[in-house]
Amino acid sequence: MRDETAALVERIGNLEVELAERRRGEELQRALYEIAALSAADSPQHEHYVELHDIVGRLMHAKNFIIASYDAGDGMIRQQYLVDEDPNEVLESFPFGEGISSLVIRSRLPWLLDHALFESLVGAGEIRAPRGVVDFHSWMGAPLIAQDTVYGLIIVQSYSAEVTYTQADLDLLNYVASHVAAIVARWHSNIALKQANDELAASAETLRLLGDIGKDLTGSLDALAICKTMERHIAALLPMDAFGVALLSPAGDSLDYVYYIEDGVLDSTNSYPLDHPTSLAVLTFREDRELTLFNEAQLGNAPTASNIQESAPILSAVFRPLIANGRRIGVVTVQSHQADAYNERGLEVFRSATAYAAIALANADAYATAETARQQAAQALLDLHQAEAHLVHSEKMAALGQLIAGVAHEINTPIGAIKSSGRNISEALDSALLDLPDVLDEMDAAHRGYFSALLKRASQPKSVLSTREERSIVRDVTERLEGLGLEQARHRAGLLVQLQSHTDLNAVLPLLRHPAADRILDTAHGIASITTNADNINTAVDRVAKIIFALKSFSRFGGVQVWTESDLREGLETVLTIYQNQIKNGIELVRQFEDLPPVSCLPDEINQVWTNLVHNALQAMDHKGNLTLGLRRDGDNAVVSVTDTGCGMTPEVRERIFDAFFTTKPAGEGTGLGLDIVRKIIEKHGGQIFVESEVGRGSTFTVSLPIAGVG
Amino acid sequence: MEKGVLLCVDDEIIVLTALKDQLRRAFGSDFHIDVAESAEEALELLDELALDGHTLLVIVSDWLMPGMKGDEFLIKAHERFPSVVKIMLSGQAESEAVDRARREAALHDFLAKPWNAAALVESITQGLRDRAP
Repeated sequence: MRDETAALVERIGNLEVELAERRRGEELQRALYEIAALSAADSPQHEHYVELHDIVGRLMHAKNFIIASYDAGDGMIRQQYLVDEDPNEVLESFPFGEGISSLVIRSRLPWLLDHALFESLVGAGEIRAPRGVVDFHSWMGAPLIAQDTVYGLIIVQSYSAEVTYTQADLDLLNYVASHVAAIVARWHSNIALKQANDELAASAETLRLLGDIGKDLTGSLDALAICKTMERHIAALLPMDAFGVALLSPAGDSLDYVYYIEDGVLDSTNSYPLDHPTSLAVLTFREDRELTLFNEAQLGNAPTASNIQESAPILSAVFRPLIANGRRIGVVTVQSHQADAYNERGLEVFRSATAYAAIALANADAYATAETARQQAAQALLDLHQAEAHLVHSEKMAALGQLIAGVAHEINTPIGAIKSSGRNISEALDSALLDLPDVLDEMDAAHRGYFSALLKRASQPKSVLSTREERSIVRDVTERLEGLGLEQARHRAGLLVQLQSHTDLNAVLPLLRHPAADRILDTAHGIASITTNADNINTAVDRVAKIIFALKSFSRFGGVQVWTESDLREGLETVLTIYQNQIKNGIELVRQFEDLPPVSCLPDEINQVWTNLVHNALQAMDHKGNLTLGLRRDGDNAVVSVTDTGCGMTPEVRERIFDAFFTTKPAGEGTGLGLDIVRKIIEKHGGQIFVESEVGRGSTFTVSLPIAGVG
Repeated sequence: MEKGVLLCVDDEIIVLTALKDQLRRAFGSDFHIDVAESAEEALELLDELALDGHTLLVIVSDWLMPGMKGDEFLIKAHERFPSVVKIMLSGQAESEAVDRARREAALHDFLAKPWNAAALVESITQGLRDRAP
């Protein structure tokens, strides 16, 4: 009987254990289900942590519960959720270090600690005791690991001997943690994707919004028209009572308002030197940063447009530098009678429109520069013709005229590049605006993220590759793409290299494998080509500017001569620019220039000396051989040498070359006055000219000029 | 079958950059655009293209370049690839050189810089149409 009773009690006991285990199993099942349901959320909210806490609380004692995140990027552990019996415990963030949270993250293992184990870990140097007292009785921490990444940890702890966690509790917590980690990982990728999406959507939206502005602006090549277009568009988007565009003057020493309109009154007469003390435009330009001013006090000291009577004070103003390809070309401003007129979105629109305007104005400037160059060339010819009338020996002048006509012709190369690239930009804008929305539609969120990253890489500054280098890289990338089993490998390799995305193919592989890969790449390339072409225009304009400088120097010829401190190197470079074509044809040019202080001289006359000597040198070697220009200091003198590897001169010829009307050239080609004039100019400067020559080896003309000038 | 190749030769990288983008826009879906900075480099490239099994269709070449000039280059190219469409695009070219290229390299067209994009595209299109099979 007793045995039966005992057996019954045991069976009941077993049943109870079994039931408890089953209930626990069911509880666990339910908990995991509820955890999984949390993944529907896009991002973690407080209520989700409360729910997690509730779920864990049903599985074990969890009165004291912490969820912390870990960011490997900045090495911070951030407590996201904390419930604790101790009211002094609050959410904390701290760097990854040597505490017990860090131990869990570092070891990637769950830890069950009591005081004894804690002390021995401290003793072994595994961890360092935290700030304050260690007051827990029993402590468990489990890492949140998903896809090999530690996202943080869950902690439960008890302060009293009534609750002592066991290995089974730890296993359970760890099991739950692995499920929570999966959710956290999903949240993380959701957040990252959402960010990428938002960025892309915002940029696509801005692009759409600014598309019309961009097309309008870059379609025009007249600075005034661009200013008016920009004013019209900005007025439609932002509160605006005044609008102005100031451009850096050609001399680079002042900002000239090419356009300023306030309350409908136009005034473009104002100009401020770059050292102006109160002009806000100048300040913006000088400091190369956006200036936003939202109250009258800040605006009070700035000068106002001279021809405009203000109807009411300006209370808000934004100034922004105009930057085209890294070069500051001016400042744009938008202003309002309202206070605090510009919010962040308005500013964003203004900034983007400014970027377009900068490209457009730089284009306009490029055309204006090219146009000026043509006029300069025409003027130079005209001046020369006028000079001719006054000069008896006109042959030399005619030759110089021919020369300059040749140089003017050379401007056609950069103009061609500017024209083409300008057209490429407006076509690229057209097709980007047309294709982008469709292409974005065809991609899912993840692919849009890759696309966004692709555009970002493509807009980084480009390194200049020779065509040979680029081809070798393309060949290499082609092979790698073929290795990955991709079609059209060569075409795509070319595009990827242009997009600066060939080094890490993994970053673009999802796009390459996308069904619409071709259109995606083409669209990205189209957008990126806007930058490429704008850079190209910039380079071409620099070239034109250099040629204009040379032409200007020569167009002054025959004018009033003024003694000036002049850098001889600049004069020599000017002459080399003028002769660039003839030199390019078969001459190896060597410059041996030392740094010299400026020399007091008549720059135009001195340039005529270099022109004569270079011209003679090129003729002496029939435009084939080495031309060496030297510039050095010898005591108080500057010494310039021009060496050719031409036919050289016999001693008899050498004796007579500085005589007037002496020439070895066929009749009609030279007057025999070139070196006579050179000698006279050098004497006027208190200098000397020497010649060394050897038949068949070449000649060296050496000119020595006193740096301080005459007297 | 690899795409046919359009080759641009100019010693000015600004011209190559503008041309490459322009021609890619006009012909990129049908042809591959290659560029070279000198006649010498272009001749090497002709060998490579032939080795890789590419068909050279069009050459657009500058005239005044350091080293070999455009007319000489086009004549050399013509000896090896008589059916290639050859166009000279130059800011300044001696008229004898252009005449020589017309005679000895079957020059299809001469265009002056600054060039008109539409005219260049039209010239290439027409050249391809008339190309000896």
